[in-house]
Amino acid sequence: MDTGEIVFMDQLPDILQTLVFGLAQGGIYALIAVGFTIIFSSTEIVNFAHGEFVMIGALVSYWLIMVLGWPIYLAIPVAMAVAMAVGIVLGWVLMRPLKESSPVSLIIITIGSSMLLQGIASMIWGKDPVNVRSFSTVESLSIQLPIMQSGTQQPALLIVETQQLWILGIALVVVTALSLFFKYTLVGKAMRAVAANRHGAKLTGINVSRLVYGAFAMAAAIGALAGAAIAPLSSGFYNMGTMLGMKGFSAAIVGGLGNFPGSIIAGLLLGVMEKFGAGYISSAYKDAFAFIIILAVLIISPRGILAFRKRGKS
Amino acid sequence: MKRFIASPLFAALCGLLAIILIPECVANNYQLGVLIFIGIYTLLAVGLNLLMGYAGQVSLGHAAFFGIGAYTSGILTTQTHISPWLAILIGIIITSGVALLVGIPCLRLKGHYLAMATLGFGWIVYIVINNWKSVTQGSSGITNIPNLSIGPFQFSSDISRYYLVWGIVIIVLLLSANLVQSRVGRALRALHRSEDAAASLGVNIAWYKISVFVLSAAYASLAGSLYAHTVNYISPAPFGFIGSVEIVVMVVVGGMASIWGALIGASSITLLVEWLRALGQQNPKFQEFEIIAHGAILIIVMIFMPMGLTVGIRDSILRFFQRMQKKLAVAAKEKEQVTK
Amino acid sequence: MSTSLLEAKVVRKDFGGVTAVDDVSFTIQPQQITALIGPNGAGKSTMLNMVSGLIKPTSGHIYWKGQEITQQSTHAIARLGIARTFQNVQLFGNMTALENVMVGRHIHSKGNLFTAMTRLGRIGAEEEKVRRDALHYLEMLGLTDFAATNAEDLPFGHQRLLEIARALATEPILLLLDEAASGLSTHEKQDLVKLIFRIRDTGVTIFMVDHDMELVMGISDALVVLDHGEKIAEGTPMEIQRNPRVIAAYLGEEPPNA
Repeated sequence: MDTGEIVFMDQLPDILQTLVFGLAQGGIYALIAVGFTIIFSSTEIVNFAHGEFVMIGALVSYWLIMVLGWPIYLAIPVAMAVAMAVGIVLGWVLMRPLKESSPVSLIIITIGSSMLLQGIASMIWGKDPVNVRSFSTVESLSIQLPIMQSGTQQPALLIVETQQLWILGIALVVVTALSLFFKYTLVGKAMRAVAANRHGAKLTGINVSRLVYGAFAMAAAIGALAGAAIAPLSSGFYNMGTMLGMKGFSAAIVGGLGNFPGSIIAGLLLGVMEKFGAGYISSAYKDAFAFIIILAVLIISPRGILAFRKRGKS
Repeated sequence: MKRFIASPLFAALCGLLAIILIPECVANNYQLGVLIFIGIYTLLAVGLNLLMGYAGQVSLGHAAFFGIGAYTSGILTTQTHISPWLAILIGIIITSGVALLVGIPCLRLKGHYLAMATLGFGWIVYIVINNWKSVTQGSSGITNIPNLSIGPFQFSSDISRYYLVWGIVIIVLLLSANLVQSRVGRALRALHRSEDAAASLGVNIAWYKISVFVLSAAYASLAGSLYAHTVNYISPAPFGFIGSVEIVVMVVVGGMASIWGALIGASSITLLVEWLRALGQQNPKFQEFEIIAHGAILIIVMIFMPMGLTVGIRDSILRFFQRMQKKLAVAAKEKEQVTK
Repeated sequence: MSTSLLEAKVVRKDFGGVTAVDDVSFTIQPQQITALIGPNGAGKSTMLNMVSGLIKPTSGHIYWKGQEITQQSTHAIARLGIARTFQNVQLFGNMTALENVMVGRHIHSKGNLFTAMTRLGRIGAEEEKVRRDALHYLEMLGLTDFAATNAEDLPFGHQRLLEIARALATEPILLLLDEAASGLSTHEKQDLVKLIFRIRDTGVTIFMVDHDMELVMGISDALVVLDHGEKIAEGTPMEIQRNPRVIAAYLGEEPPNA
């Protein structure tokens, strides 16, 4: 009984450390999930190219910051603008066949776009991972915990990278801004109306296609921001978007597509579970985790998800 | 006679003739190797086309079934010395079982959700293949997989493998062509367009969806085993997400709901990939072209010919002829009136 | 009661918080033409979809020849002898008119995956028979000339007819017609009436949903009237025409003494 408690106290610093890593990773997933949700709720398209916005954010900001020496506060908005431009083009490509085409053709178009963007990125930046410096000059903080390191008389340390704080901060700001946007602005309300009833929204004079472009631009910008934020932690490379996109999508599904707070919580949860899974179960299979979650959620509660779909459609 | 010409058997005989004659024109083993790959990918594309083109159910994880077949063959024949033929059979049984388990819950999903579920499944299999090193050897792959053989005869030369693979391809194409022109094929096409209408006519849609899913997985498993026994080496690379997408590309380019289109899709994409790879070897700058070309082809075909290249081209030719016919008819009528 | 072909007992369907069909009961007598009428949004199509098994009732029971079929799947119900058409014609547009009707022969043929692929057994002969039977139904509806035409290329009136041919090919005991007259010209409507009588005369029971009072009054033996999901009347055309609640529902007024 006692020993159990001691073992737990011994492991506490490790657990806290893993938690911090998990939350930061989860913040990225949450940002990506939000982008998925924005596009899905205004177009019913699951955008397989969404991870490429993240990649664009990471690599463009790398290029501006590390190669051209731009300051970060200038580089990131430019990287977001580039992603927005790409997003609008993608929206335009998808809108053309959207009216009568099947989900299959739309899926294939987004996969094609994803491959195209990856190919272009690897032509520009090559295939090797690149490193970006973190947003703050102080890279990490050590926090003394009020418990002792096991076996020693020294206080345990919790190491927090400032970039991780940045990520969590950004996630918080983006979510708050989005909630306000969808609740209080006319455009936000219109987007919600389109999501709820596309046909009806058209009848009330809402310009649906402009809103779709808006959704793509917004999702792209958020994705690029996530990419710029994760690059200093895990480097950037041409196909980084594939895996990040998948994880973000699984968070979006777990959170209930179209549900912003749900996406955020699910993203954070996924990040934390993944880090704990990697640390305590198997690091080799950590990537399988997100997919098992996707399958489980789809299989266990397809009705919940389908119910959402119906509501979105009729 | 006319009926015979229109039958799949006749097409198969023509194909057989072409298969016998082609090696006469082929210069070297590299080209034979490419032809073998085309055969293997044709099997994959036909299977996925039955599922996607006919029944309208997406699978973004088909390379996983390809991989399960290949690895079952590879593992069994390198570790237990059973006959490769038996390994192929066991592979098909295991793959079908997995497809059944995955298909029953997943095929209740539609559209994007089905795509996501199959994609998730594909990734899981790929990750397992990469990480279950004690069995699959991980990324270093399984080497020295034995050849297929009949009695003392080993399919070790490229030409014998070519005949073997294409012999199987012709049989599978024939069976598939029979299938689509049957009660079952009609039921599949019907549920593709309207599940409600098909069900209201007594078609058990869940059963047909599962059946065709398992069948296409079995095709993929067969293709995987053939791959393992003709290349004699397998590693995880061809069985990942890009592999799945490649099969989808073949189906789309070849034409949805077209058995022979699968053959065309597999041939054109395999040749394109080989050509881009050759360009890449000459000039490293071109290496990225493979993925860019893939992406661009997908986008363009889907926007302009959502039913695929062959169907799209066939339709535009038909339209052209119809217009000509109309013009001719009008001209004939005018002539008639003039003579009156 | 025991002579009825189909019986719905206090059938209810809620969609979220909205009640589309509110505890409705009725019977369909064999060899008759029964019509379910009511203003738009009265719950007619929902009721029809429950009879054909496409949606399941929230509560209540549906009996076919005394056997409960409430929870049966659509394809099983079709095999019992209930066929239907759809309000927004649901043809298999990717197939020819003939192939559409051939799907209608599905339950009267046996080929499975294995025999279809290998052509073993008497699959060739069966296929030939399916084709012949299907042609017979096309001929019956005067569509022989369009056998090889893609279903989606047919003019709208013909599409409606093809859908009826496809349903008849299942050799139904009960045929459900969902707004079969909507979108048709006056002339086509007259032809439809004749066709419905012809089908009835072959011994098929007909249950039709329509909001065209005039058409329905002229042909049906029995009527069930729905309004806002509730059954407000039931009877012969004469009785229904005089029923004040029905008149009110159609004119949008309160009945004088309700």
